[in-house]
Amino acid sequence: MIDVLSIEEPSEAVKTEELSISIAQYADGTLPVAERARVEALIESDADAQAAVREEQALTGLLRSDPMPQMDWDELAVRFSAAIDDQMQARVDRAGWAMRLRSATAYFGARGMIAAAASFVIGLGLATYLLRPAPKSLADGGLKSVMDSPSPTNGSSVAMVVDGPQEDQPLGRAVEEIFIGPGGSYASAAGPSPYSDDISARPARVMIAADAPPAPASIPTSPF
Amino acid sequence: MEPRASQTDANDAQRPGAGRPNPEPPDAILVGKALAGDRGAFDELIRRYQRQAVAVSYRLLGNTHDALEVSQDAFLKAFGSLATLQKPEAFGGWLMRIVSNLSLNFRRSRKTRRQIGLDDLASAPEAGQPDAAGASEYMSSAGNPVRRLEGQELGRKLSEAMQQLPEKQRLAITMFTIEQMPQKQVAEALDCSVEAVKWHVFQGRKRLKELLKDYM
Repeated sequence: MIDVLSIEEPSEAVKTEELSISIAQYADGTLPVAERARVEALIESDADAQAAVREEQALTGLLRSDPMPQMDWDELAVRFSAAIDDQMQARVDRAGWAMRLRSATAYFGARGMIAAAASFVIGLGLATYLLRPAPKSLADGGLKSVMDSPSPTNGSSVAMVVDGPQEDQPLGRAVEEIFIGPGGSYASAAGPSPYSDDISARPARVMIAADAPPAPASIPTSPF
Repeated sequence: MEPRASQTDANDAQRPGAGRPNPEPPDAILVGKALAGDRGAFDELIRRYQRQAVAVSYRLLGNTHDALEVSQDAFLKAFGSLATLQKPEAFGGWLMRIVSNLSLNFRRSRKTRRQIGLDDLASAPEAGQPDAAGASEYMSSAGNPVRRLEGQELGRKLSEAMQQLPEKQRLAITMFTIEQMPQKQVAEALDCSVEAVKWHVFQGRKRLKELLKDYM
């Protein structure tokens, strides 16, 4: 059983809030018809309610007093419409390639398009392979630069300058290892000579100079 | 002590595209035609809602150029995603949601004003124009200079007061109280119930009465 006495009456604050809402709705014309008669009766008999209605109406008037700039709406509509046309045209242009691709697929069939795509990829790979930059070799790169290099010594000739691999330009190895050791039968022995010095740290540039006539056109042989 | 002349139903009857007595097709028909490829149908929707779109954007941005730019973007976006509109009869509220979202994003991003081809609609600002940032050649410049200055000052105060409201309250008051959009359409725009719109309007007005008491 509900204890009727325990149900509290709405507080004055709640009543005031509810009344404020009703008056605001009355003033802006959104008060439900069923409640209108009650609120109108209250307003007629209550000076505070009348003041509240006037305040609501004043606020509404104030808010609407900042006018919206007047415009030529017909012209503006034409502009908006033209912007949409431009957008549509841009989409049509973008879709052009997709449509051509779809048409080609329809014409050649899916297998044909796959074959064409595979041919394209293969061709691209082949072209990349064939047109790749050739690695510098002693014969056509390093040695030529040797021949054109000025002598570091006074008047004597430079026999050979070998550019080693550059850190930022890994175009291939100019010299992998340099073995320095006795020649003759030792040099002709199979494999690296036991007397060789394995230069594991590659210098950026090795210059071999000797007091000799200008370098021959052919690759100079080791002095060992 | 008369209340506003229109009641809710009457207000809804004034809504563009909804229950009008004239033979203009309702929004849902125009949306359907536009989806079927009838560009003229969407042009009619533009004519029907452009004022509302520019007005809401202008109230939120306080600048005609930005409002025009955002409105154009809103129509472009609406046209581009018209197929996603689930209730064609709610086009107006849906468009206003796009407009308000774009306007708020525009403000938040502090986007540099771009020249989008609408600038040739605008002439150099004239003294006393409602928006100091730029005036359109379509804007009227009539009026008493003193009154215009007073209006500018009042407009600035109003704008400052509105900025102090929470976003939903600001949007609800802008759309319902100032632009007199139907509550149902405002609810669609704010993606909330009509009751929530009433509450936002009431709370917003309550705060504005405090902030603007010197001007009332």
